[in-house]
Amino acid sequence: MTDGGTLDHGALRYLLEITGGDEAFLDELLETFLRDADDQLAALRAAVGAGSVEALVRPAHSLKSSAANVGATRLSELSRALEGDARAGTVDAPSERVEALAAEATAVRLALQAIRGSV
Amino acid sequence: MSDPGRILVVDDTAFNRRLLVRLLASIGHEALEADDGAAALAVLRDPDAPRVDLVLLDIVMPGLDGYGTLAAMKADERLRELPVIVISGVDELDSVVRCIQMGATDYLPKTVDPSILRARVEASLAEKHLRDLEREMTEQQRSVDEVLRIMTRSAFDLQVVMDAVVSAARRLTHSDYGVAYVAEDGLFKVVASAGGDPELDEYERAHPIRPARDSIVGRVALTGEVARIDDVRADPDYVQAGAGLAGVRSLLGLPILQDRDVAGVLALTRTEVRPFEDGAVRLATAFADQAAIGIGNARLLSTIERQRRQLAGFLSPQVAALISSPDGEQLLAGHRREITAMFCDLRNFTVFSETAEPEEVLGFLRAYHRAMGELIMEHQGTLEHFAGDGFMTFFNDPLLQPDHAARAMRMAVAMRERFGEMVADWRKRGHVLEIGIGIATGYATLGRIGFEGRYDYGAIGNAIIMASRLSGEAAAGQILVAQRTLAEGEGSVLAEPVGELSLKGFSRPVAVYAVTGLPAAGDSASPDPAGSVGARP
Repeated sequence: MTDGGTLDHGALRYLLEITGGDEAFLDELLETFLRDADDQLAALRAAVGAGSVEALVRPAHSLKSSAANVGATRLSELSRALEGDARAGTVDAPSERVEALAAEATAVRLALQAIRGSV
Repeated sequence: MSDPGRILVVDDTAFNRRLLVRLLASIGHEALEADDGAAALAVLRDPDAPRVDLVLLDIVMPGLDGYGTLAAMKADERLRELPVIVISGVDELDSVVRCIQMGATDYLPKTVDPSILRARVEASLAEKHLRDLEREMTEQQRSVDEVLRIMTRSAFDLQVVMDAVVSAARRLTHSDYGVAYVAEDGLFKVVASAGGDPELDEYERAHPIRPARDSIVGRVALTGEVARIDDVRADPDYVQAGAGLAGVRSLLGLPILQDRDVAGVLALTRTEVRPFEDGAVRLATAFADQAAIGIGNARLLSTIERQRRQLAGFLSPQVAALISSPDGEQLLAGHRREITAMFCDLRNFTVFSETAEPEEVLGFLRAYHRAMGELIMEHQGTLEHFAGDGFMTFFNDPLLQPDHAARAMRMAVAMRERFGEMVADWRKRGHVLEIGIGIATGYATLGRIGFEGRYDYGAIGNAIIMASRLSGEAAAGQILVAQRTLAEGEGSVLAEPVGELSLKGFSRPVAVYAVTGLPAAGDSASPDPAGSVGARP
């Protein structure tokens, strides 16, 4: 684990292993993850803009599970917390929470690019 | 590993879909993708899309979510049985429980573990495979039962049997078109078809097939064996003709055998390249065998019909019908019944046959037999035999005739009249031919009389002997009847007493009456006032 939970290299090694050691496929998968994360962040920001706590649930939920699969532990945790609060109906300072998620997503992107140049 | 399955992955996150598709492919399954519930249902309901064996379903999705998708599937008869594995996070066990209550088969954690994925997927596929197999077996059994039932009910109706065979064989072998052909003068003609459009049916019916390698039917006809064509376009001998109309690609032909002869062919076709599997061949063979029984029965029936027609020329029609009737054997074996017997022979026939030319005698006999035969038919008597100038007929067997005594007497009157017209010419030439008739009623034993190779349907009993004696006693043109006959045929003829006659073989004299004619219309039921006996002897 590096950077206080930003990227768990063990999770990446596991992904590589279960996909038959195909490095090119792993890169493709990670790019898909980053695109998905951008989509979810856009959906989260739209929910904040619309003032809808309920609309935060689905994107936070999606980000939570894919982040966990690529080893983005902290991003997954932040998403889980946001999803839980949003389901409960009380999210304090939603804009700050979403921007914190966005900052962590950027950290994950940088960390991924650092170890996998092609991503 | 189980057989490869086709699996639909439904998840709004591209990352999850890509990962699952990759993992499923690595364990040999083909995966399709849908990014929400609506897209998934569209794939599942598309009649042109390949059949899906299993759905991996995410719960939280935009639009139609996992619950909605599951509910829609369970409400759709065609999708209800399709297994669904729910994909869920470890913190979503409540959702999993809800999905399983809604009919989901199993669940998978979102944190992907290939061995768990594999185990769950293969367990679901195996279960579905078993269920499909069970359904297929039930369907096969049902269809075979149905055909057997039809065979039993309509064993001799070739059309009904062939229609049932063709439609069941087509359905169970998953064919597009099924046709049964029957051989006729070396050509194979359509007798039944299923699944074709009218244009194709018409073409096939208008074009009987000859034995040759250029068609599936011709090939089976040529070899007497099962023939398979996996793809007509890859078969150098196959010539597209009528089959071209239907865009046929894979074919199966099975012989319908009668004692090693190809009596017909059952042909099944598919419009896509999907070679007929061994299981389909086995199944279709069973139906071809049923068709063979159908053809055999139909041939048997036509043989029996032909024999009956031929026999009818030799035997009295009643006896010919009896021989091929269901209770014929029992009646032939012997039974007792009250009958009325009639003997008829000619007076002066011996003199006539000595003085006339033999050709004249034969010509006369032919005309006499024809005239009397017509009257016997008309009155539905059973002719036991013709012997020269005499013959014996009886009534009430095998055909039941409650008015047997009256019938016999009325027929005798008609015979006497007809004979009078017949011999008018001969009388002018000096031949005095006259008819003499004796009739008696009583119990007799009836049945097959004779020996292996030459049987008659005959009657034995006192009534027959008495009728014979009375015919011997009858003067020219006389109809003598026993008292019992007159009593039973009360009112049907006019008669007068002749007195009591001592007949050879009968210990006591017998009261005998002579029939004078038929009562005038309207007084048939009352005694003749003039003193001749009409009703009561």
